[in-house]
Amino acid sequence: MSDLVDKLQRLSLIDLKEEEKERIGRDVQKILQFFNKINELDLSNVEPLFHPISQGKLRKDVAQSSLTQGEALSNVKRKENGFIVGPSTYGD
Amino acid sequence: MISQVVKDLKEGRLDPEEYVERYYDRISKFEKKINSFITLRSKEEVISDVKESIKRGGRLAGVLIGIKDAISTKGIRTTCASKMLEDYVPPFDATVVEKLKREGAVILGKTNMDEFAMGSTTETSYFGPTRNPWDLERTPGGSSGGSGAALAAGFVDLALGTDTGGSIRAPAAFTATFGLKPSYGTVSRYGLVAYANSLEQIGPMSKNAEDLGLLYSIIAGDDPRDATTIPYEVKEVPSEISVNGLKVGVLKDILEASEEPVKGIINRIIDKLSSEGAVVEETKLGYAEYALPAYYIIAMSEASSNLARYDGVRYGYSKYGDGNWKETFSKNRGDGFGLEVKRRIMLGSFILSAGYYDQYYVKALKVRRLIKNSLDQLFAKFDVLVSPTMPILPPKLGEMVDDPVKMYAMDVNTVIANLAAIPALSMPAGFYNNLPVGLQLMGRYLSDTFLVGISMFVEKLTKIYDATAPLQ
Amino acid sequence: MPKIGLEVHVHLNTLKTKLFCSCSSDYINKDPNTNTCPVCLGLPGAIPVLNEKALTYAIMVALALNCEIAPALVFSRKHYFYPDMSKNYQISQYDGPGSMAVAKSGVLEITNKKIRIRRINIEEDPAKIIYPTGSMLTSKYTLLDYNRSGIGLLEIVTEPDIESPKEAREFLEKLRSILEHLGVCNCDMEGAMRADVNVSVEGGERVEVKNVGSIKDVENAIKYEIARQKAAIIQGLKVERETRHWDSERGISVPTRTKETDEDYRYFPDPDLPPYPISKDLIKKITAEMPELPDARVKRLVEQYGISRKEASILVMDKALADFYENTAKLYKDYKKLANLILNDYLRWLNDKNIRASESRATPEAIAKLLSLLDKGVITIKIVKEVLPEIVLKGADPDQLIKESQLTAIRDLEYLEKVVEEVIKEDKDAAEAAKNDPKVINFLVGKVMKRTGKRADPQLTNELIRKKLGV
Repeated sequence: MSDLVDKLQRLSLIDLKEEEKERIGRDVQKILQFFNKINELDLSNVEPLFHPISQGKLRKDVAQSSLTQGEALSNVKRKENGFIVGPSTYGD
Repeated sequence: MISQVVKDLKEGRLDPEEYVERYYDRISKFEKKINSFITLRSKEEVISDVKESIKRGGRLAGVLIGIKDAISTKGIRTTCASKMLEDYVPPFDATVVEKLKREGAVILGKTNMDEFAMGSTTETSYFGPTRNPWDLERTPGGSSGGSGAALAAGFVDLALGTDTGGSIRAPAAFTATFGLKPSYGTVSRYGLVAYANSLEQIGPMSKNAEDLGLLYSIIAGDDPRDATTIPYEVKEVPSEISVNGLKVGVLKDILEASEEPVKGIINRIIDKLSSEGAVVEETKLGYAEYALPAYYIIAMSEASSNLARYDGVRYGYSKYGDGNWKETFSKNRGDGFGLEVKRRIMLGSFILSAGYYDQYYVKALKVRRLIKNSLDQLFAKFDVLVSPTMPILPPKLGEMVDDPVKMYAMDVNTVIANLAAIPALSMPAGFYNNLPVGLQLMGRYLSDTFLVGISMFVEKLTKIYDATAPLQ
Repeated sequence: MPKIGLEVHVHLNTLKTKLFCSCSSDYINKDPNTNTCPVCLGLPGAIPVLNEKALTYAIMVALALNCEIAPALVFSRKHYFYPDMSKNYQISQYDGPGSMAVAKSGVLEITNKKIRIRRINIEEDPAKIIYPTGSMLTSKYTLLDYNRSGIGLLEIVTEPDIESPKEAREFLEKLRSILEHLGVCNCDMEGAMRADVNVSVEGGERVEVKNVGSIKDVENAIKYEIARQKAAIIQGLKVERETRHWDSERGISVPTRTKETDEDYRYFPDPDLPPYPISKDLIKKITAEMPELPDARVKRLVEQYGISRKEASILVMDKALADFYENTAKLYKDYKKLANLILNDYLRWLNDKNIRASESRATPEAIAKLLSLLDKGVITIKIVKEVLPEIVLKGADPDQLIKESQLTAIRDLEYLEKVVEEVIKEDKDAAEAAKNDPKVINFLVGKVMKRTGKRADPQLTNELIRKKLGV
């Protein structure tokens, strides 16, 4: 189970604290059991319902005003000369 | 009635300052006990906005409204009750907020909710739980618990909530207020912080049926910025529809699975409907027991995707910056999200991951198809389906939140409507030991105004509307 | 035979807006983060709506590549975390339950071969990352500019039918021509076309070289990879699946530094974008309004102007060049002569200086004028070659140029005779040799040309020399 929790941490990029790892490990088991109920059904001839709305819409190729730099950066914690500062992309 | 308030404000019978004071007075007295707001605007600002608004006019000119903190409000903090967005201030308004402002509504504050709308009791909020004004030891339901409680406590007469699996209807049922989960695609989601996109809608919450209809007519409508809205407009405010001659289906299994007090109250209402000429028949929804797992599989999958964007770079909790992107993101997300949110994101990622996609996600979508077909069959026969909104009375604080599966089970009556995209309304049905019980009405796709019309008739039978909890 | 497959990413830079929001698509050279909105910035609550022109473009490209077009347009989310991803998923397309590519199973013909197209996808571009130290390895943080985030891309993926660097170049040149003729991409712009190149040789596995930025680079990358892989196998080393990066400056591919974990993209249909039907009527309408494609244009040029198929093909390979030819042909009616000039002197010079036809400032009027001056004998072909650079680089007017630099042809026999005599007197040895070797005559002609600032009529000069030498 801890393997699974580790895998899930990596997939979702969430670092759990130790106490959380244990709890979530147990919860995940229970919840997956709860999910497995649908496997009681024979669904081989059923079409999945992907979208409740059958048809989407398009938009015209006409430019509209965008956010100012100030607005775009208004919630950014780290910025430099108008750029948003992000973490390094090196290593794993 | 809000329409009367608008008239009185416009024609000078109601003084704007007195009008606003009344609410702030109650808030200052009782809000500490209830905790229904995450952000409350200053009285001075609000009074100024109300006066301005009355001058400009609109169907809601001068009316105060509480907005669930999952809906983007320009310049006003929008937190989704999460540490992750504790100081996030959107640079734009959600479409529904633009519509409300155009009609002159004035935002009083942002209401409390379960974190990222994930919960049924408003106990997972980073800003502390909201208490039920009818019994401060109990929850007001969730995830739009702040809106429900604010209405019941008399802090506001109109509110917006969001409903993904029952999050408008549960609080409505537990606070003796009215709430509508609209037909999917009739209210724009542009600006709604997404939890589960194919299931959720913003919806109106109010203290009576007429106001519910008025608020819905204003927020509903096609939006070019939302590809999931349909060509739709509510041209007139709904008017009362008698149940005489209507074919009413009672979802028997769901009713039977409810707590005794709930059963009793709902059965009494059903009798009343019969005596008013409704043609009542017991019926059963096929595949109902698979609705809950299917709902959660879909909701968690979509949630894991929608919440991927929270990494601290462009907004939000960003304590960590050293280390590479994987380390930084993992730490920010580990810190910023609460436990229930983390649970759902991780399970959602699992379900969508290679090897499990067909087993859970696609299967859940097939169950969704079956449930929709089941309902279509029922609506060929019935005009409206009724059931209790919730299977239980409002639970005590702390009772549900530690056991996820127990908490999920609270949604058993409500997720059906979200899966099938149909409208569902909750209205007060009665009280048991002063604890509210709600009646749920479900209708065909796009029968929203029809349901509101029926609720206008039924509220006269229950005589429960404009109910404010007796707070000391 | 090596097996080569290409994944070409094309910027839909002729769209006015981004793919899923109404931000302007004119993002190059703008101050950072001045061209964003809630949607492309990935703000909470923002949702996408597709640009209708992007769908038209995708269908046109699909038609031009003879693809099967999907019955509806659907999008999937491709999840991976990275600082340049505003939502940490890319809206793209995928073949799986509930989703599909906008087109598939097409073909592009090059000389003697058909390259199969596996699929065409519509997808969005991420933000731009700048490394403060200039290198990913040494930068402790990154600088992000979301102006580019959400720009529309077409991804065109081939089957591994390509078998040589030359075929890859031909494929890309033809593809570029098609894209330009459709008006879907202005391929001369920076970053307009990039490719991921997949190469495998016999006995080894597939290696992917990512983000190769030009056709020339693709050709070189393939050459390099084939050689590298073959060498490895000969030495008994294994060539395993890997992803590499092309270093254009050094002309080599290098392994990517970050560990290539098998990404699980967790594709699923994007719930914010319900399917949009692609009806037969829509396809008919687009087909009817489609611009002329390169193959059709080649045919027409041959018929209309009487030039050879080869000449027409070279013209059409670069739309701007073909356009220039046709525009000039409206003014100058000796089509073959025009083709000759354009394809030889004009094009050669452009290629030498690495200038694209679209960058040339020459006008059709200027070239037409030049050619008529040549016809009238006012200038010689040598002078044409002299003035061409000015015309191309500065858009100079030939009349003006020739007047200013007094470049008119010298046909004055008396004068030329004098110069010829001088040259023959100076170089008696050459004069003797010229009596037997016609090549030496050309040498003498060259000397006369030098003396006359290249204005001497070469034909006349040649005749005069022969006369003087009695040849």
